Amino acid sequence: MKGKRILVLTAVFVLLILISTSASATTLYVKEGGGTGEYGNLQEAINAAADGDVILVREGRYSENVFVNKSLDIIAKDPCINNTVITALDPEYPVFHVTSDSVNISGFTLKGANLTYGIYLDGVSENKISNNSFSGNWRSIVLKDSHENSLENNCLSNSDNGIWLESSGHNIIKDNKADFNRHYGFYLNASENNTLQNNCAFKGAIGIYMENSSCCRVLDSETSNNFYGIYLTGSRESLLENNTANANEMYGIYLGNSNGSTLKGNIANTNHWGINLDSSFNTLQNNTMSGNSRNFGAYTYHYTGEMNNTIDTSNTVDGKSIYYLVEVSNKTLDSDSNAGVVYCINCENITLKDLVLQNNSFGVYLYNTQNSLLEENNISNCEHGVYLGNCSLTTLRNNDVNLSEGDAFILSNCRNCLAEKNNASNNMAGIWLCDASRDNLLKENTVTLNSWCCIDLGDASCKNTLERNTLSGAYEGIYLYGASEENTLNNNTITASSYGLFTEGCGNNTISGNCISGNDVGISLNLNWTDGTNSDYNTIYNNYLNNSKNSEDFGINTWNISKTEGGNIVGGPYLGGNFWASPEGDGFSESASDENGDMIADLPYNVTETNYDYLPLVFEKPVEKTENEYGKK
Amino acid sequence: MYVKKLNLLVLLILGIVAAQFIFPVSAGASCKQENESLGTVIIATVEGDSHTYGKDSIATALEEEGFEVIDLGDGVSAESFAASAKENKADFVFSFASMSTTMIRQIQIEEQLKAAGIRDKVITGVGGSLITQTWADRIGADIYVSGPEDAVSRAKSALLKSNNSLPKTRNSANESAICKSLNV
Repeated sequence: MKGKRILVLTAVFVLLILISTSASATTLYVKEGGGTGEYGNLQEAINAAADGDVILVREGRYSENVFVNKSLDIIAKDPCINNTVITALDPEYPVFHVTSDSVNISGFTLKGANLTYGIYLDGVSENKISNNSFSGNWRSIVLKDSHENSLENNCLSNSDNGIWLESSGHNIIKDNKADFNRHYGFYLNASENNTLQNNCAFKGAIGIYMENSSCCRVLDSETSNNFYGIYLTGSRESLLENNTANANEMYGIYLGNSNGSTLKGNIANTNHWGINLDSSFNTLQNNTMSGNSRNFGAYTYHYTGEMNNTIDTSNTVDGKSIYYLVEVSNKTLDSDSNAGVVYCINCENITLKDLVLQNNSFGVYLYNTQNSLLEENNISNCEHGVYLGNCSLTTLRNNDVNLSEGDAFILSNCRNCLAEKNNASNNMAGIWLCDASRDNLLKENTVTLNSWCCIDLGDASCKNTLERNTLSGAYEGIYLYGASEENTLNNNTITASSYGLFTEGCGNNTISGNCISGNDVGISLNLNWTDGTNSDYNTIYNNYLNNSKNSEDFGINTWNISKTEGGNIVGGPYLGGNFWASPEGDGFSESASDENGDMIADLPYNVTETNYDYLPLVFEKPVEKTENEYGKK
Repeated sequence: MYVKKLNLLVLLILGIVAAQFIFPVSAGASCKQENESLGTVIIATVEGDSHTYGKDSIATALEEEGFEVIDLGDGVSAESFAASAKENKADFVFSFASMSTTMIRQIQIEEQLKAAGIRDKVITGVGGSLITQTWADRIGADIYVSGPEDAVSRAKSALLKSNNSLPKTRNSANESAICKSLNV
């Protein structure tokens, strides 16, 4: 009985407190210029108010920096936000600086804080900023160390930045529109577990930017006509769902170092890059990329980190499926697969045949994949055509790769691969062996019209064989750099380049049987100017050289082998040095004497002051031949 | 004879006075002007980017043209750009980026300069292989530089525009700390 009485008394007491509290909430009015029972500015009203009060601001133009340190509803009375305008009195201070929880600010136009912020939520929570319009501020809404706030239906334009979060989590940012902001529409740094839903960001440098902000959700938003649409860096386990990122000058959606993120149902069209990943353990489903210069891309060359993503064929590029195979064996993809781009990570015995792949960062990307075959594929308009990283025993045969912004074929740290009978034209470079690629064979490839080089070997790519390739129309036909040694360059035809063969700090290569003609310089053996390594101990023999300038040699190299029986490049019976012709027909080998008729000149040819071809080849004398056949000259 | 000498002396003095009017700059002043910097330039490649060729050639050209160049190197954070500009009372901040993933750092440099309260005290320039005038305009950089000669001419004309051609007369970067009250 006594207990019951105590309970009733307690309930009555609580009710009384609640009633008294609600009764104490008052409404204060602000009117431009003041008036009876009304405050002339917001700060006066706030100073007079108590927690829980409502401040109704009548339409007008106010010039203030308002400091809010109480839980208040500050509401523009006029439903049209353009009619209640607050301009920062001092542009070095925010229009609203909020240091209290549970503040609602709604219905205003806030501007003129061009050195600071429109609204600054400073270490607070459970505030609601809604239905406001911002312009001409450095940052329109800033949250620092502020959590569980709601920013809804605000219009953010013509400022440096729209919404800016630092060290702020669990906020809901919804239905906001940011346009014509110079830098970021939405910027999050070190801000986790935020939800951005149904926002849009147009015509800024970056629509939505998240740095070190994990576990955020970006939903149903549109970021278009920016330089970058949605850009995540260091933001793990993010969810991007049903967003549209169109017509951005760089990336539609980019994930850098944002592992474990999920992209579902996003559309990225007509950007330069559609969706690009530099992260791992991501899941992609039902994303659409179309009309981008590069629809889909993951990783760059040289990349050696984890690439273990779950990307199924529901993701499309220009209507074709993305194949992202991880640890798959014994699989063939041909034209029936409708593949638009193919990635094979840690795979074995994959065959890619008759595919037409266009407009991606890479047409085919193989990493740590062995015993595979790429045959008769047509790849064009990609950043790079085919990439093989850390692969072995893989064959590239009869593929056409054209119009790549970079290289047609890249073999990085590959062993025992074969590239034969491929065509590469109008790329920046044809075939690039790098990162210590060894023991590969490149043969009978045709590489033409590349802006840089046809074949280049670098970064200690050694013991490779290049034979019977036809290379033309580049700055360099073959370029060796970075201690690429013990390679064999044999029976290649190199024409119409600035340099037929150019080496930079590479030695111990064998260059023989090549026809190098119509180039500005035939063979140029150079120092590596950065580390001082010279191109020494190369052996150059049995080449046909007919160029504006046949040779440059800044090292110590051998330009002939000892006289050996065997047919040489101009039909003579002995191997020895090289044939030195000139476009005018008066090259050394074309005019040298050959008294004993062994088709080796009687005198050596001075390659440089210190390097000689001791056994230069000569033609059978045409004059003598004419006299023999017709008995007269 | 004495009068003649006196006349010669008077003529000599008059000549010196006339010369002062015709050639008002003294040898000392002239020397001082020659040594005076056209302006202080902070220059570097942005964080995450190690491409230095463009930056290096522009730094050299600016130095040869009489700018004082402080080269911070490569991989420099936006905060370091701003701190160095403030410390050295720089007139220019030139940043270079050659990757699609590093050019965004140039936005952060603009932001950091503003946060340090010196954005209106410096002229910002952006360059790099992917950088365009459109990008410079979009992020609010003052100058887009495409090469060494371009950088020099644009820097000089921007300086003329911003301070009426008087070197070192603009407010120092330290004089204003706009955002100190907000600690931004």
